Amino acid sequence: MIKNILFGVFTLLLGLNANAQDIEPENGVINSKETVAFINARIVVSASETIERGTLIIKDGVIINVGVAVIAPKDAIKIDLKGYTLYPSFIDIHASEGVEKSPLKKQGMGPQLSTLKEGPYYWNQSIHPEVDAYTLLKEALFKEKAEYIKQGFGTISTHQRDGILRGTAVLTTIGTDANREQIIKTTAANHYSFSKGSSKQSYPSSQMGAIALIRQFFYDAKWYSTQSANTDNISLKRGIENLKLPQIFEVSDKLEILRAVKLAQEFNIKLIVKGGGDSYERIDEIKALGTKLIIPVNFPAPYDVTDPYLSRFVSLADLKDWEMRPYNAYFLHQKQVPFCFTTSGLKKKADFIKNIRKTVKHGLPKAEALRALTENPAAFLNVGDQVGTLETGKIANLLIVKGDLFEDGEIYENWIRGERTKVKDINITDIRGKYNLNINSIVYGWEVKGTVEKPKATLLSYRTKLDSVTSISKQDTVKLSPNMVMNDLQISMSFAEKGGNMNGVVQLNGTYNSALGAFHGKAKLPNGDWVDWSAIRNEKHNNSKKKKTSFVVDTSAVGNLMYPNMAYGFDSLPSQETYFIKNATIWTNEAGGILKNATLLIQNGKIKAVNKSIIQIPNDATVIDAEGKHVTCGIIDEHSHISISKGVNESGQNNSAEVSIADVVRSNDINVYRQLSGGVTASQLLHGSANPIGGQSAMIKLKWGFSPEEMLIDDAPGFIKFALGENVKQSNWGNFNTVRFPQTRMGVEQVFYDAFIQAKQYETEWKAYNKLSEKKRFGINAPRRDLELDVMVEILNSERFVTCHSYIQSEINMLMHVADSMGFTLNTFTHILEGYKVAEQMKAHGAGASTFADWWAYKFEVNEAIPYNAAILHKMGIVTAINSDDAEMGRRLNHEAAKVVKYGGISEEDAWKMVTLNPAILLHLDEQMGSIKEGKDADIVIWSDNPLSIKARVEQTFVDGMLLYDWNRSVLLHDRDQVERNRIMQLMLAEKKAGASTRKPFKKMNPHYHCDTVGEH
Amino acid sequence: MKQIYSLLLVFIIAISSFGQTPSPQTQMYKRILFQNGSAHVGNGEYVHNSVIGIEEGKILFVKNALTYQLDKSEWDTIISLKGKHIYPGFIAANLTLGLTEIDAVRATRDFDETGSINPNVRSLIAFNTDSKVMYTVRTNGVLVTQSTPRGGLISGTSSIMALDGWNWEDAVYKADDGVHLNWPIKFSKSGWWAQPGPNKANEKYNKTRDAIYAFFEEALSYSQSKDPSEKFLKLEAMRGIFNGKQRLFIHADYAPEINDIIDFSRRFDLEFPVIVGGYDAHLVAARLIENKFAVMLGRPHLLPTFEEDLTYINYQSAAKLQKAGVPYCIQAAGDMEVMNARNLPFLAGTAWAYGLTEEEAVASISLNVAKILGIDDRIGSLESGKDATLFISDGNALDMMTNNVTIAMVKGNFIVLDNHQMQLSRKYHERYGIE
Repeated sequence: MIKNILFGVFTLLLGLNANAQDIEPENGVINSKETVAFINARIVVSASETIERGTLIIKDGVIINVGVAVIAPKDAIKIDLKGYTLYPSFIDIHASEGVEKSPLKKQGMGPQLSTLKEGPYYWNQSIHPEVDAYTLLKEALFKEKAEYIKQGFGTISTHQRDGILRGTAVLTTIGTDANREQIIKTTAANHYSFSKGSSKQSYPSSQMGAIALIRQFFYDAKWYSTQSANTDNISLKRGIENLKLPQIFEVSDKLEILRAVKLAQEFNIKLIVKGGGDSYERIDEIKALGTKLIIPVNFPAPYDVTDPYLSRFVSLADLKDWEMRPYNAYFLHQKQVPFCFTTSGLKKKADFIKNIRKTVKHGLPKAEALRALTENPAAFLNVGDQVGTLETGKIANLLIVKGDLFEDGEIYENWIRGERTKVKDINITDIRGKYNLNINSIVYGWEVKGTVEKPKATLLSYRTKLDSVTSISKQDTVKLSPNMVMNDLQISMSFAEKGGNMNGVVQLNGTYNSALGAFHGKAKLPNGDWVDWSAIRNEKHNNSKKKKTSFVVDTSAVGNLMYPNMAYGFDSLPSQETYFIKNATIWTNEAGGILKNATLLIQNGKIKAVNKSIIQIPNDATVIDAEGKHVTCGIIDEHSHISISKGVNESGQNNSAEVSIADVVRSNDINVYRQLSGGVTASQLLHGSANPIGGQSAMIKLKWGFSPEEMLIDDAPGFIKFALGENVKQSNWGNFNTVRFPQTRMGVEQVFYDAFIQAKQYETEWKAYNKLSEKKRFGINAPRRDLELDVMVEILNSERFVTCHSYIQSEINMLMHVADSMGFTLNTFTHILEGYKVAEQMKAHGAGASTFADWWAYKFEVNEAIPYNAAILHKMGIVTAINSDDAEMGRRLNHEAAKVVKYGGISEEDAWKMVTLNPAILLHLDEQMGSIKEGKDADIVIWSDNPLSIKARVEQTFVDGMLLYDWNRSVLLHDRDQVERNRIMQLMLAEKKAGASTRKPFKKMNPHYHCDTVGEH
Repeated sequence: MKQIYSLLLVFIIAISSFGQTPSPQTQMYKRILFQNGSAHVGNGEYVHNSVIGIEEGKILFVKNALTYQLDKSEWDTIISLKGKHIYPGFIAANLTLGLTEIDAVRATRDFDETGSINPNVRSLIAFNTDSKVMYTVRTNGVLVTQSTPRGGLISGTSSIMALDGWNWEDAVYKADDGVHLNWPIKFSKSGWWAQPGPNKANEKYNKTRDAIYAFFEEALSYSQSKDPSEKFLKLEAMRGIFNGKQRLFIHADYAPEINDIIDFSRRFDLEFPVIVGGYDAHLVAARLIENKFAVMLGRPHLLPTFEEDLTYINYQSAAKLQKAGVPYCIQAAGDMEVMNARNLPFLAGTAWAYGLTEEEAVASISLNVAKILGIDDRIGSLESGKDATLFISDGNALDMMTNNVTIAMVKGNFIVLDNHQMQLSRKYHERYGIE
């Protein structure tokens, strides 16, 4: 009773809720609440405070005192830690161990259009904020626990790592007691990702779909929270409730960090992002976002680059990434981005400390490493008052370490809530050395080697051999390998003798006397006799072979970053410069036509002057003599799918107007550079054609080296992709995809009418609501915001333009009827291979055309496609462009334009406009690009010849006045990359030689999308 | 008068065959003379102002017009080509042209038989002379193809086909010219479409290679018996490989595989080994030459395999092999290869822009191909004794802007240069009243 009162006082004093033991009835008499004092220890209280020699006292799983002059209570168990250091144990806040998985499993081969989860939950199976990990804890599933403890962890926050809105994590210590006595916080954090995980529901099928789904969910949840709806929905409620918790978003690379934070900012959500370990590549952008990071230490193994041919399969990007990843933490530290470490992503948890030490060797200060393992994760989850340091009042989670934890120190013990786990035995005796073993007066040479924990023995049996001929006796030595087990101070050993002193197995048991360095005990001989044996050490184990390698911090490679960090990346980003180009043949695309012997001045990213007889050449101008060369504005690709991350199609639904390619622009696609080498300077990155109403476009300049945000064209008009025909009705998707509406052209029309009619009603509702005065709005709920319908309304109001993938005349006609009856104009028909059949209707409607020069015969619906299409449309007065839809062809759109001269006899100037001015007009960007005119963007290409000629090569490409591609420089960059590859491969081979395990070379495939890219590719 | 008539004839036929693929024509002239055209002979030579005589469908001579004594009475017709270019018919090797019509429609796909070792399946008999695609290919100067099966380890046996004829018996140039072996790759792809995974080492490589060796060992010993008691179709189909009558086309791109293939070729003492693809061929040029290999280069308009490669690495491959002295030609297999066959001249044009001379570029899709296919005694160049399989273009045929084929002959017969695309174009030009 008194004990309980006392304990209560303690609890009050400490402000800790540690009385769980008292709630649960004890089976038997209650256990004592022991006090432990660690004395004479070096105590690393926190990243910023170390006590060189002090005492730390814990009682009942809590630190009750720590300091230099602290005196241990008399009843305390004292542990003398002279020569050892106490550290706070580590915290992993991105664990997923010990939690049950989702039981939902898709049946059958067809697409799964709706969720399998029954009950009052969100319609999408990958959205489940209601999943609470604390309800799913299963000790049996926590197979990694022992390894976690060995690696120095005392606390983890674990969650069901599945889906987009994953639910909450539980913060728990990882001692051996039942779960209920370990949990610090039942709901410690709210988890997200872009991956739908185990859900096989069709939607979302792409990253942009996942992004749109998160957006829509929050609009739904907010709207729902204002409703007095007559249906209850737990997901919508919990989605909002969980926002009170720390928000953790798992992504896989640097660009996704930017995407996740940008998305969260739309809802004023502050994120902690679990990155992929390559944040260093976009460190400035990440710093600017002000986000916190959780980073993995799953450093890639070096590749085996022994073979010159095979090693080519490893890209420079992968080589550099291998070199740079260990610096990631250092970069974050340098830029003062708050971060913590996780074991997540490690194949073997056993590599954790090893890799943390690697980051320290790569520049991360030790104190910061400790902070990222303890205080930071604790602070991120707002539990800094409970775990993370060795201050009074905190949970007694501590490590006993010999040596420096961040160099080569070893963890001997891991105490969790005052419960002791021995990783290594502090009291272990080192029996290694050389002994003379005497069994019944027979002497053996006995050597014990190996490690302290796992000693290994060899035995030398000396025999005297008598030569029967010469009668001379000879000394002979036979090496035996005995079995030996050491348990504390007790030894068991056996060995087999043959033809020596004895015949058969000899078994020994004995006791070690560490003061004497000697064994003695009993042995059983082959004949069954029990005899005495003893062994005396005459030489201690020589440890000097293990040379202590000095611990060197090396940050020499941090400067090797390129933009982007891959082949042809810039050492430093180019800037806008002043260029004066003279003696050129300039294709202006303006009234002046093609100017011979002309001049061009580029300044501040714009075209400053064209061919004026007297131009003041600025002093800082670089003069380019373009004698014999042709100068044009940059090519604009109306239909491109390069530079996109994780899916060009959101094919999960027939209407995906809510998704946007602008959310998933991938700046490090080599095809950006390749297309610059073909004179392309701007592209519309289109959604694919897997559904009638696709997604929104991204308009980019091909600004190689820059971030996705910088590539996006400011204030570009909004576009959306529509599609018709075989792709949207899934004609070529195999036998199982016959479920999603529509499956015929008849159904396609209905999808459009349905979407627009809904949109009109939606707009009416909103208009009515918006008209209400503030007063009148009180008590009336706003309509639900629907991102899909928002976009449909934009189309109806001509605030967003349509580019429609189309082939057959009937469907083209149909869509124009839909648009006419709904009161808007279709901006562009893309592909439009039968456009020549409906040219008059298109003209009357006001649509433009963007087509292939000569593609056909790849599908049934292109059977009447003809290469004369562009020419006929052009002759009919329709604005006509030639596009690529293909990363390969995007490099030589000049070839494709030239085909219009061949097929249909269009003039060279008009053909050239089909890849420059006309796409600019179709994209509503002709005010700023598409011709060489004063004031327009300095997107300029210098060609070796007439650009339509097969002989033409791009010599230089400028985007916004920056020289981003240069024929000669490209060769130099190529050579530089070879040298850089060689430098890193040398490092890899050195690691291989030093015994590192290596990976076989492999090449990462670059996605090559077309608009019908769905399924295997 | 005569020459006007002959051109007019072509035009009349074109109109009369509206809505159908054009009919093969019968030659009404025994002796035809083309004069004053710029002749791209195909063997690297160029005659700026040429006279070319043709008799009974065979080329009699190619001479310089300035030194040629014309006797008009010797000729049934004389066709003036002033300012125009004359080329040997281009040959598109390694294509499924004629074996498929619409890639996405399974019923029209006749190039990939089930099973992995099918040397006995023959493209010849599936070759569709009524393919609409074929008629859009020959209008750009591509007049012959090696109709090639696909798939499996050994896809089957190809045949050389003219792009003209009533049926495959008519069209065939060389039946069963060679067997196509798809050498396994040491790296296989992984991942899914939106996020392709890494190219991983192909664990089955050695096993697959062993299977090839085993089959060839079996076929070799079978071929040594002229009349085996038990007949096996698959082994019979391999006979030509070992007696030198057929060529073995081995599809592979990268040096590690090519090196293995060279070892393989030495083991079986192959007489005419051909690498199809050959991305790395220039890296192992000396070994290829030493072991009598030829290379049918992959489509120059392919993206580089490696990010570090220069964007135009494939544009330059032909020039590299030319320089190294490896017998090579350019072929066009790849995405949408059937409809893209008409762009073969521009593939050679690109190689011209990136290092070949103009006449080397012409050879890369004419005589070089004929040599590798073993039909250079009949076609491939404008040389005496060869078939009049040739065409005339208004301008340079290797450049999109100027490729405009106005006259073409296959096996000495004029062919109708019309196709359904031209017909549709005319139809709608007329409808809209535009020029």
